[in-house]
Amino acid sequence: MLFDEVFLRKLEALRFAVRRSIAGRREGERQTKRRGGSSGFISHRSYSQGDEFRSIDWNLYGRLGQLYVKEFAREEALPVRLFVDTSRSMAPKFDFARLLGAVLALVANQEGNSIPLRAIEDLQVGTPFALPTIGRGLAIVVSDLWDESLRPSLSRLHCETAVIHVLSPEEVEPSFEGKLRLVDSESGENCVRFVGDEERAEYRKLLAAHVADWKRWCFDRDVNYLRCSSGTPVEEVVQVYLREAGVLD
Amino acid sequence: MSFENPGAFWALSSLALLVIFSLWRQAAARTVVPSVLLWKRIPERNPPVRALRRPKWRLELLLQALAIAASIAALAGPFVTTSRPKARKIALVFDTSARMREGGRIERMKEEARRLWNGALAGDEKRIFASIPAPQALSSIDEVRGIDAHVDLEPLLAAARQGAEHVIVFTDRPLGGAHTVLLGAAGGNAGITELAVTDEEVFVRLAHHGATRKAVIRVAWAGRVVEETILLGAGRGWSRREDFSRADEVSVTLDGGDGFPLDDSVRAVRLGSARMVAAFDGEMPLLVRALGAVPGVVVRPGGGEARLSVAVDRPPSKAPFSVWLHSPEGRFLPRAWGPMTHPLAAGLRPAELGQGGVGELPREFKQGEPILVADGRTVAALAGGVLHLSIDLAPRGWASTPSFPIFWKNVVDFASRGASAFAVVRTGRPYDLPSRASEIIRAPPGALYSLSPEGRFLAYTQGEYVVRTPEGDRRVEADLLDEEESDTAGLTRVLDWDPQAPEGREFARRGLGGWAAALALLAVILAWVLQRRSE
Repeated sequence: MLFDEVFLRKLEALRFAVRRSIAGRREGERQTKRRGGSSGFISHRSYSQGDEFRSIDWNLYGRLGQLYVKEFAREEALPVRLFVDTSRSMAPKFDFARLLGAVLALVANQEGNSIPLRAIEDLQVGTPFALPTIGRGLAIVVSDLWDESLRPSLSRLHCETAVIHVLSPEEVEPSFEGKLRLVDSESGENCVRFVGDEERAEYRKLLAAHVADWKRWCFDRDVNYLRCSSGTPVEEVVQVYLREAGVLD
Repeated sequence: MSFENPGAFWALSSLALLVIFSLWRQAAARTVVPSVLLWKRIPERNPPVRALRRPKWRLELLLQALAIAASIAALAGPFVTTSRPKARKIALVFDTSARMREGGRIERMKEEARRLWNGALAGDEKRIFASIPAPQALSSIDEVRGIDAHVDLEPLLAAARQGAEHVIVFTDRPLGGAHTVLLGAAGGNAGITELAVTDEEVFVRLAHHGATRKAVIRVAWAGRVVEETILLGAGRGWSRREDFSRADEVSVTLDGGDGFPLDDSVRAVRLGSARMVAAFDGEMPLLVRALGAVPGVVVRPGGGEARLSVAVDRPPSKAPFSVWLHSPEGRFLPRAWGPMTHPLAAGLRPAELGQGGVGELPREFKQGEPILVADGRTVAALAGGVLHLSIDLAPRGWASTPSFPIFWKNVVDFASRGASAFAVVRTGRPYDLPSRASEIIRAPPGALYSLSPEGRFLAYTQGEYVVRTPEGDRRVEADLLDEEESDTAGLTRVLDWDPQAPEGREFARRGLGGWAAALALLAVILAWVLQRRSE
């Protein structure tokens, strides 16, 4: 995966925009609500046994005569998890999805993550795809969302989640027509349909409803949702769409 | 190509229905999509009419159309008509006469016949006929072989003409009523055509078919040899008086300087005593003289006991064999004589027989076996041991010709049944051996011969035969050829008929319906396989 220097410099300026405070295990560039020893002051609280003397605000003690402890936000690395759908349905747009995943990995690595690019390069379409349960951090799922079983999996992600809904231009605007035996690339299920202008119009309506349904489903669950076409340049998706969607700052 | 039911092609209009139906029910093309989730929610419908404007000609549809077209073609009964030259029925007749040995003509005939057989006559039905010695149909040209006798082609041609459209005769003489391949040979042959030997004299008749030239005639008997140079003319007799009474065999050889040896040497073999009494009742000096000239015959005037009795215009006296001479009534000069195959007629010349005129036998005497028939009338007949003969015996007629003493020699031979002093056997002619001769115990290798229970010996192969009789084994020499066989020249001419001339063609109809049906079945199978694969 080769990116030109200009694009890489632009990537250096990008950060993940996280709506919820994230507690990471490693200290990084991101401030979390976890109180820590960094310079970012958050508030005062009453001293309790075991607090470090260094954290007592002696000025406030001087004014109020009580021990208060300063709480600082601890800067931690943002744990980012990338999930690129490798099911067969992703075949027409898998190169795009893999490239997009690599860009997101680069951004994540800038924030202290260590997502190996080699792992993304080695992804192959047709292998089983499932989402694990994650408690914190940022999960980015790149998928075409044709598998309805993703909904419960996404629901089990108890972390900041962004879903990038990738569709190919052929999925958005089918070019085939005539009497067709349409075969599902994943399940092998098929159905015979005559595809004409009327059917394509009906398909567009159903696809719009399908996308709207996913968008609403994500909104209801505080999941960031972005739909993009695999025909769109990755740079444009990263620089424009992901920033507009609030996935990146 | 033609069709038995061309109306079946109206059914080809069904092809239009096939095309319309096929366009309406086009097979769905297989298309892989990421998901059919949304497509399943779209109701299925038949293609709109406007979709028919974009027909897709698929191999499957073409195969279906081919199956229908081939089926209809099969129902139409296609056939082709072929023609070929009509097979003719052809008979090949071979003249296997002794003279055809000259110049290797038997082999030349067979070679020429094979060339025709495998060439111009290849597609015809062919049969082969030859006299070996009897007229017979042969299965192969290789079976043709020559015999040492004369072959009468008429009965052979009669057999060959039965069922044959064309008869091709391989011979050396022109024939009527048949196509001929003539194979001539060198002319100028000279040969012995007659031999008569008594105890005192040897008589030889010679034939010569070339320019006058000298030849040497040699007579050998009992260790003696006599030679004489003679001048060969158109034909002549030669005789020499010697004492042959103590000879068992007399051989005569003609050194004629020709290449045909079969008629150059003749032998007379003594079979037994020839003493015989012949009773003659009448006045006819020439007849008495002729009878008396036959060796061993004693002529006694008047009746009385005798082995042979002869009478003129009255019943002859009782004897084992009699000759009743009838003065001809309704005398006529014969134009054509019937076959002279009986031993009594052996060696007779038709032209000499009728010189003084002949008469038809009275009805009561011509009921027996015809011996001489002239112009369809019976002149001589044999009935009950009596030979009836109605020929003018005037001194200037038949009685003055060589056939006259030959006839009486035949009579004596027939009466004595082969007991004459010297036997001279001519190939192809029957010879009456002593009646008690039972079998031939020795014959030349491959010889063709027969011996009837009555002792009639018939040889078609020259050479020495040994006959078994109660008195002991007797040797017989068969080597005298028919006079006709001495003329070996003949003519040479290619087949006087073009066997390749078209004589109509025969037509054959070959049906192609089966092929069309097979093609239809194949197209159906392929279309079915394609349809299964596309599904």
